[in-house]
Amino acid sequence: MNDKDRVREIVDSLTPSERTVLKTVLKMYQEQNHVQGRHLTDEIVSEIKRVVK
Amino acid sequence: MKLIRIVLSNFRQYKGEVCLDFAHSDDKPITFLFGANGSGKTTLLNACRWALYGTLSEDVEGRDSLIHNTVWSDSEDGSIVGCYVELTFEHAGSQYIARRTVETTKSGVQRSLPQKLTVTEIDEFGNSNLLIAPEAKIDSIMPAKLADFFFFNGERIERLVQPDAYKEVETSIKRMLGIEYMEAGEKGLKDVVARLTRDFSKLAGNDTEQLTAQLESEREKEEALIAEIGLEKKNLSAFDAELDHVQAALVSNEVTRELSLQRKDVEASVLRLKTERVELSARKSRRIAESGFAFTGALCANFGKLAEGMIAAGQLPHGIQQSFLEGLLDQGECICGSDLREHAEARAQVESKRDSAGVPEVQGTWMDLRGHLSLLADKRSQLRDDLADLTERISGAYSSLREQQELLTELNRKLGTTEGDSVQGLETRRQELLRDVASTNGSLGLHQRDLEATRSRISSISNQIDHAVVQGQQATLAQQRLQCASKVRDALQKILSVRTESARQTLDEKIREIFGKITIKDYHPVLDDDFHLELFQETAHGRIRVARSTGENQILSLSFIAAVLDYASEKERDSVNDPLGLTTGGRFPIVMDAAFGSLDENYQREVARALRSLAPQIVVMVSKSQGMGTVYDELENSIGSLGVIVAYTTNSDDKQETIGLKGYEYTYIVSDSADNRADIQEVR
Repeated sequence: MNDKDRVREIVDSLTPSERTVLKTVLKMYQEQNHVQGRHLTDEIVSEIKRVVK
Repeated sequence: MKLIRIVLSNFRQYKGEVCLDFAHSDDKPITFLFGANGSGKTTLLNACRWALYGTLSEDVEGRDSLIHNTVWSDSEDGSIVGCYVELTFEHAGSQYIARRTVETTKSGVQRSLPQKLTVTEIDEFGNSNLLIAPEAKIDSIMPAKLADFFFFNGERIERLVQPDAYKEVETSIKRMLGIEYMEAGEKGLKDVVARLTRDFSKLAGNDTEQLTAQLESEREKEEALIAEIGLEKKNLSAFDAELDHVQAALVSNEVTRELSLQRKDVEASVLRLKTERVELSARKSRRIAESGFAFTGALCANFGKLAEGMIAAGQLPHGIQQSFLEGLLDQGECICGSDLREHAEARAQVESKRDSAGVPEVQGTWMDLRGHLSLLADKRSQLRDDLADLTERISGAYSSLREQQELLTELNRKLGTTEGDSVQGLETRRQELLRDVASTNGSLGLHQRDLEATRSRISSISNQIDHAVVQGQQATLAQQRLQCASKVRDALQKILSVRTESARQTLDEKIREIFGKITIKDYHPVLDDDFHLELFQETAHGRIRVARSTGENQILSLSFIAAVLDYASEKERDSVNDPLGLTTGGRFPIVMDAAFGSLDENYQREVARALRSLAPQIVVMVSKSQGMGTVYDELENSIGSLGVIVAYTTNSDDKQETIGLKGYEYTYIVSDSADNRADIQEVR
């Protein structure tokens, strides 16, 4: 099994809400990777509160 | 990213406006520039770096003198003076013009001056847009930390494979492959889980609060252990590198050369024998664990005897199927021809057999059991032979190990008592380093075990918190949010581990393949779990680490860069089907100065041959002596842009020189010039 399939398997094991949080977190950090020292904790907590209610 | 054009205006040696169009077609992607030493090759390389990041490589002297010396000195105090570099490149369908400018009112000598960067993006439809965050854009296209990978001086490139650069290299690879921000995301989620755990514990009651306190304390311990392990690994790399230097110094000394080389072989042999002994012992243990049951010989024999007795007494079925006997009875005739019709004598015997044959399931199981019992005897005999063989080999390895260790002690004694201050000093340092390595390895092992145990406790406590029975809507919701964050963090940890290991494995294979194409020596590069790049050689005594020469380090570094670029390009193509919907990797050019500096002619040829496949776009700058002949001949068919960096020098002692290219003579060095400057002459 190649790494892409293994990643897909891990992603598929999540619920839709968890998947949304995972993708949002990765996107946040990918887009902000050049901004030093920025804490995205608050934004992730808000995202979790948005999808789990 | 594809370089299109560079314009330098009064930038260091380049006086006035000097322009170069880079080759960027797929079939001829090489820009090849000849330039004498000191002509401006390194400045051109640095102009690319400076335009993008505002930095110069570490080997540049007079870093504050960005404006051409004569332009500066000819300007009057109080007048506006400046320079700029404008780099045009394409990326992801858009064209970018990055222009970095320095402008100041002249006063005295040149000092560090404020710079200004502007980046204009021209999209695929021709719309032009001046970016408001140009640095951020550049960094997102080609991160500054990766500059050393793309703009490098060949003579200094071996720095990339030195232990002090390992961490930087690992970070750079991770950044290029998009692993770095996953790590940042994972760290962010750790903080999120910690915060949600605290929120939840406040709502859930005392027990959970106590668990949360425990969890936080374990996490602090985990962080401290990770830092400690990182430091120990770094120290081990430094010790290994210094040991290599000490060994090389002992080998280069005529008095100690032979003994040192012999000791190196014996050390490799000791290491191999130790590994062999451990492996053999482990294999013996596994063999006993897997097949030790076969030694229950007496039990099997007793069971077999008892079973045969039961068969004879008709208490256990024979090996004939009940259904088969019923078939014979229905047929009225045995396969031997005996009469089995009603009232026949033989029929009564077959009926008796049929009754003792039992139900088919019992029959099947019994047949299986009888078969296995006979096999067990064979297995027992095989196991006995195997264990005898393994025991003999372990004992052999142990004896050889003792012999080699005695020999090593003797060699250490001889070298330790060899006269000469430098030898004594090297030997003492060597012993100190070996002690440091042993002690660091010991504490590293302890910390790693401690980390494993801490993580196991963290996992157990987190699990208890996640699954604590709670009451109340708010507490339930808080617990659900915590569970969500925990699961996402766990998933990201797994993804990170898959991606990191896959990147390391792929790069390891690619480096080996590229390195093997360039060098004729039987060396094997290995990128280990910590992204440390080492070179090994297979010897009669097993695999030993090679103390690398400058040339080998250059080739190793080139192979490494090529492997990283190739993998980054593969990842970009692969991003289309990424399960996380992320784009990673990319296509990047290489700009290299003095790429063939320390290489002999064979290596020059091999590197030149490999160069074409190193990157999608390459800019090569060489002196006439380095590049003319072998290198140029090998690359000629892939050169899309050929030029000469002409050196103008005020020195009348320098010889005027030309260079013959494509049947014409081009100016190479102009002596006795009005000022020192560089110009680029395109060869058509």
